[in-house]
Amino acid sequence: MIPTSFLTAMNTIAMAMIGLTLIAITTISVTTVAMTVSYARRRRVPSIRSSIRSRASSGITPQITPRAISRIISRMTALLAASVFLFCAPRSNAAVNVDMSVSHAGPRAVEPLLERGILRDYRIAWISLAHALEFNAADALSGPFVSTARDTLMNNVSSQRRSGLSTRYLNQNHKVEAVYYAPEGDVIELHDAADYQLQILDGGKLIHDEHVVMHYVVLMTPAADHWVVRQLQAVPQF
Amino acid sequence: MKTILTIIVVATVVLVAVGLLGAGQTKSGTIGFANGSALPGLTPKADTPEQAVTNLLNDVQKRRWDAAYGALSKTSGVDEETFREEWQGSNGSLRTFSNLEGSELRPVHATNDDAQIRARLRWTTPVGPIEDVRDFRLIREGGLWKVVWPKQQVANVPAQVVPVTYLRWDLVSGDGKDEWGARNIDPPHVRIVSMNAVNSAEGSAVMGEVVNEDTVPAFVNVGATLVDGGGNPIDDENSFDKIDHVLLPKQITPYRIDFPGIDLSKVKNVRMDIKASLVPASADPVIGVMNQKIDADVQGRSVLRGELLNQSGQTVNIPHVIASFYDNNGKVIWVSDGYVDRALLPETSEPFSVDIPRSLAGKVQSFHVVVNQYSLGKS
Amino acid sequence: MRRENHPGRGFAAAAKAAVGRESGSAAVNRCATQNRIRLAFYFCLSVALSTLSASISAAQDLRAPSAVTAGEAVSISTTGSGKATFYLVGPGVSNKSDVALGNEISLRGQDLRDAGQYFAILCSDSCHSASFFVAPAKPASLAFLVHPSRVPVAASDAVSGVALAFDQFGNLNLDPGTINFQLTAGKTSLLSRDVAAHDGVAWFRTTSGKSAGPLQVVASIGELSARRNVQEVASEPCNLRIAGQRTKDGLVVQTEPVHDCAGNPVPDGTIVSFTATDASGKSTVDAPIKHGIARAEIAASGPVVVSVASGVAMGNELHIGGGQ
Repeated sequence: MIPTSFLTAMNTIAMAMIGLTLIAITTISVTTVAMTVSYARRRRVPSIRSSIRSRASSGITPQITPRAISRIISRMTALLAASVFLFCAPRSNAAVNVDMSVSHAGPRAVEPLLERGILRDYRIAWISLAHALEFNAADALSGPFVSTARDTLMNNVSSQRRSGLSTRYLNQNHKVEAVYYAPEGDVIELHDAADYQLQILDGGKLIHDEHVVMHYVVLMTPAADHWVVRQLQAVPQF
Repeated sequence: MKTILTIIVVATVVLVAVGLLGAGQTKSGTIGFANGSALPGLTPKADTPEQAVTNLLNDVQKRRWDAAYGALSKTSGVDEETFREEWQGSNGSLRTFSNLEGSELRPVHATNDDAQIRARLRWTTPVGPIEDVRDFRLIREGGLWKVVWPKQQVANVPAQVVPVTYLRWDLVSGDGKDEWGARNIDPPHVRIVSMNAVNSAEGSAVMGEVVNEDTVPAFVNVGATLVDGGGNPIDDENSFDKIDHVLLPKQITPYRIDFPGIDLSKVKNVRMDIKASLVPASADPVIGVMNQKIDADVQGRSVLRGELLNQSGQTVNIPHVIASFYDNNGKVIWVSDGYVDRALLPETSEPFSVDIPRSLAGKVQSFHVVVNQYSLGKS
Repeated sequence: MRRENHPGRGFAAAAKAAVGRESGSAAVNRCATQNRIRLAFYFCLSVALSTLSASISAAQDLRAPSAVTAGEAVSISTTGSGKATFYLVGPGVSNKSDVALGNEISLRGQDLRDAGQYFAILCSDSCHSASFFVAPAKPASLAFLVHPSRVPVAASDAVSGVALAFDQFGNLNLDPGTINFQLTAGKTSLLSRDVAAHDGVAWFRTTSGKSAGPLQVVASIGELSARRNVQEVASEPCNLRIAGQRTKDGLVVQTEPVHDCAGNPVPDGTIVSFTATDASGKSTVDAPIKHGIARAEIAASGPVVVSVASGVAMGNELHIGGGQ
């Protein structure tokens, strides 16, 4: 699994790259226009040459031709595309922060190892949910969700496919509190106060963009080697 | 050009012929024979005891049973079919799935007319390589050495009807409804009753015993993770076949988990993990372990030997013996296992032996043997 | 030309400067007239756009229902006229349909089966949304988790159960009220307890009964009930005793009927280990209990000591002389 800090760092780097690339492209584009004009003028009006020479002395290489500059621009554009990809690709992973408290769980105490496991699996569940609903990929739901939770989300995906919609869950923050842990450890109930940017798109068109605060009641049960979400139900409040 | 070509061809043919004829004609006292060193019709003459055994094993390896049987002395009291069964195995035993891979010979004694050769036979089997030590007695007959093959004492079990009253447990998975909690059957309750970590010849090993405390059979597997001083896992392994996986109620099995190449001095902690699941099982066959005692084998190594007695009416194809050894404090200090390469027929017994490491032999005060069994057609 | 840096003025200042540089006084007059006309045009345009925008906003207003129960059909009212696209996005549903503004939009019960938050979005020139919650319907089933499925008798706090109420669509009912738990062994009632559910969960924990056999565990709420079976089994063997006699080939040993300390028979199939030690070594037989007793045949000669154990419980030792 990719650590959150790494993904966040990647995003920052990608953002910085996008910014720098945009600045570079703008600068070079302006220069290109100026150079193209100058180049054209230089061919027709010899007196302009002197001004170009004087510019050359202030740092602009006289050998730079518009063709070379356009090559640079195309490379910068490729870099920009790469940066955008870098930024976009891991976004659904990076933007899921989960904080968990188990101090009020009972009647059975939640051991630290179990707490880490549940936190990890719940975070993975939300990453999968976000991926499934953004790209209408039902496969992502099979591992982390079972029973009602999986059926509901599967219905969402198939329904979205039919109507051409997709949903993005961006910048997710989850404050999770375990409120019940069964005596035999076969079910844990979580209360998740989550906030995220909810974007609903019809095709490529953004039809809804809202920062929402949601309250989820979650039931998780143990599977072979991990915990799965059995119930994920939004409520007005806890 | 033509001359050079002819010379090369002739030289090659001569060298090949020399190589073939020369193979197997080594006359040194202790030899290891090379697989495929002789071609049919080019078997060297058995003019030494070692050569006679080498020829025999070569024929066995290549499954040339007529030739192998021909290398036996006329005084051998065995017919060709029995001789063949001894090498090939029968009744779905481990030997039927094994191949002779190689051997090392060592003369034990020799006179002009008789000799004894000790062969260390290496077998490849589905459960891994197995070594077998066998003594061959040879006598000189008509100028050639021949192997005397003793007649095996085959248990003569009278025809009888063995009443089958054994218990068995089946699993019913229930209907297809996915009602949460309705199809809940807990896995069997099993417990690790002892654990000990020691350095071994190959690295280190974690061993002990597990008991099924439940009233239903359990399929058990034990895993261990070695943890260093910083709390980081060094390695994790499981008991693989060094455990009796199917445990009936209240049954105890030894387990051993090997960590090759890991020195215990680097290990701060051992995390144990036991997994148990429900399994259909049968209480039959009951296999008694008779006349167990610690002894020295022909090579002087300490072994625990005894006999397995099949007290049921069905054939056990591959018996597997697992033994735990205790010191005078009752602590498990080693767990050994071994496969018996002959099938265990109903109401008959087969000898077994398992090794005890030389360094621990003196500390062993008592032992406990369990028998795992694999029968064809049964899961 | 002297350049001045005026933060915030940027392009306007530059444009003014450009215009100023380009023209003389006549040009200035002509430009002023053009600017006035342009200003008037922009003013009229903005007034028209504002009016249009206001009317569109009014047309796309939609009013979400306040209290909805899962599986119930509801309607959303809209105002205005013309056509629009309506989206319903919620748990298990992402629908899109064309609607006529000013009419009510009917939401089918089957689209509101899952409890949770729904978003109703109406788009024509722009999009407007409203959200509402769907609450679970009344309990229709109980998930009842009981552990363990097999329990030794008289084990303290060994049996536990957790009940959660769900509606007919599988939504967790967070406030189902009080759930009753009953434990019955044969005809004897071991427990009857009412437990108020918190956060949708009610649970109990109790000691197992004193005799082996099936234990019925029932959770009920109103007319709903869920039944589970727990098998109460004998505890560890107690007072394990053996007797034996010599035979032609060795000896036969067998246990007395094997019971736990409460007198419950230990289940058949339980392994009893017999160990005989004589001059030739040690012999062991792991024999299962059949019809309450375990029996083994052991090859032994001369004086022999036989011991017995089942799991970690030990039994008596039997000394059999060589002549017997």
